[in-house]
Amino acid sequence: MKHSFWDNYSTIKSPVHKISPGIKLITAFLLLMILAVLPYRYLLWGAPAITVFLLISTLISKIPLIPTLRRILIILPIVVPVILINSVFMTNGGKNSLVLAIRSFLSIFTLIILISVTKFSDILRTLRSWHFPKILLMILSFMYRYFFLLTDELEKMVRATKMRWGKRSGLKVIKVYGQILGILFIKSYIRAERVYHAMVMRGFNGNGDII
Amino acid sequence: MKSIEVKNISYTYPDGIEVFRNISYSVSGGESFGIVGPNGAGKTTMLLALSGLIDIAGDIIIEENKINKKNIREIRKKISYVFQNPDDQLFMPTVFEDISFGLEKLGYSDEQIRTEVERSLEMVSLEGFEERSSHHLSLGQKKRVNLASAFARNSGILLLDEPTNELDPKGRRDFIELIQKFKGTKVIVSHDLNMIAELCNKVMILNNKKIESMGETKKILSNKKLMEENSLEVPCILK
Amino acid sequence: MHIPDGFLNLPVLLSTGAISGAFLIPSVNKINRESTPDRIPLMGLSAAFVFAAQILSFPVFGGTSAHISGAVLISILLGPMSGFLITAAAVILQALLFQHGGVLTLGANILNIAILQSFLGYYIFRIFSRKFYSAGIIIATFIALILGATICAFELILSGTIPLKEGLIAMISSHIITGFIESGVTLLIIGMIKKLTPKLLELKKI
Repeated sequence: MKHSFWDNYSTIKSPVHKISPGIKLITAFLLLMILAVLPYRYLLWGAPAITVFLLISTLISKIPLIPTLRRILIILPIVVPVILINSVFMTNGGKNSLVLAIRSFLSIFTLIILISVTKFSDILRTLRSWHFPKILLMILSFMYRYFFLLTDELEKMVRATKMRWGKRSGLKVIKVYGQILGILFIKSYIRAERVYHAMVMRGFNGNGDII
Repeated sequence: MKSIEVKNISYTYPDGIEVFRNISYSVSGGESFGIVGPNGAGKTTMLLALSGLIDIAGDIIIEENKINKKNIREIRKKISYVFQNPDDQLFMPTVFEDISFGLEKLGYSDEQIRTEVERSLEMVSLEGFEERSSHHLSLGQKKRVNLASAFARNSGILLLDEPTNELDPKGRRDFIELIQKFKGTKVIVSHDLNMIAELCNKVMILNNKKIESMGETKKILSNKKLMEENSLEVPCILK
Repeated sequence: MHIPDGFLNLPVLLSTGAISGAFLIPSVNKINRESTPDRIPLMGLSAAFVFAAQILSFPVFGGTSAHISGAVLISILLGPMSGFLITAAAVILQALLFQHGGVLTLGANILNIAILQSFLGYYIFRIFSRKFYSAGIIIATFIALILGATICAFELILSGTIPLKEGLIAMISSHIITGFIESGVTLLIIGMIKKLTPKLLELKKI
């Protein structure tokens, strides 16, 4: 099973990929902060500057431009209704909506670049060195590791159901999908026991040991 | 010297089904010991027992130390276990982190860890795989990382549960050769009787809660009647 | 319901961040103190389950779809603090890997999804479960989800992103169907666990 995950580009070799993950995390965070607090009049010249910075980063890091830009559109279903409501019902709607659009599109662009040039495992390692709670990082690490597998199992079960039925909707589908999730949960629980055995066999001894 | 000694062990699953009744056997140091038997005979359960992962009645002695609650952590340092499903074992996001997980627990320094990871990956012909994501590996590669992780720990005993399961013929052949690189004591559980015949000098048939037969591999596995009584088959290479 | 970056103003970002942090620290400490080693892979796999479950789209009439959050389910099984950490981890991973929700808005999204649903859902369930087990699950899941959506609406309203009346109506009404699906699925899964692996209901609730 091939996963088209958005961190697929994080293994490319480029000058940007070589920069320490901590610096990239801080840069992304600062950009997001600037976007969040910059008032309207500064945003009008700040936004193009940030856009240029992000585009240059995209080019230097050798990640493909078009798919990256296309990816930004995934927030359309969230942004469009909010902007509609905003511009119809609120005073100053036009200006407000423009600010919202600039902020949300550039923020997501920043996040996409960050995850395309930084490996997720490096992000976890950096957060660990910044003393983020170990237990939370361990959960994230397991989640990242096993999400792919569980999604595969889930897809297989859903496909098997669809083959028997074709496409349907309504209560029956909710019931069957619910049952599929129930089975997936029980399987995950049983797998957790086996993973625990594997950890113990390699010296794991509890919370103090979490790396 | 006896590497593993099992004395009168009995075990009943939590759901009440009895799986072993008074089983005893031993494995000498450096020996390759095969455990075969029909599905549900308790082959995997036997490996879990040898690792102290389940509470059994009776004694298990690993390199002259009887397993108990206090010393089990020390004893597990002498054992590496390659599980049937490589995904259960490869639980860290990258290959390097996965192999180093076991080494950190042994108290290795960062430098030693790096050297050991590199050496063990070389042993399984996966040079330069350190930074690969675990979930992007093929099944064969995952299994080899599992084995590398066992090699890196330098333990004297290797337990293998269905090592050739689901591998393609070439992958199976390569994996058998890699297993042979391990010079310590091996206990191999499998339905792949050709592999058992090739790798093991001694074999045990586990069935009906007891040892149905035990002895020299060729003698046991070529006994047609015995094999069929236990839902097994004489492997091709012994025919 | 995952709020993207750019939708909240600074005061809302800071206050929701502070609230989430205030829940995070004691939860981490308590879980570190009270959990047995085998709980760590269990929480990790539960989190992977939640994450996988969240991408399963339930077809709803009219061609739209909904997905569940799993927060109340996990809290009922593992306890509110574990449920909170697991769901929070899912929110973080959704933001980083799928850009579903933002990074500065993590505080807000963790509050609406992880904190409200895990803690509220768990305690509402506990109040009802003695007498009405199944109804307790349904009520807890539904109320927790709707409250999460309401708080989410208020964060957007306070940031001047959406208007008060229309914003509230849109937010709450769009979560009613999701609420029904989430409650039904939670009840169904707990029913299955009760029948197939009842020991899962006896895990320590932290």
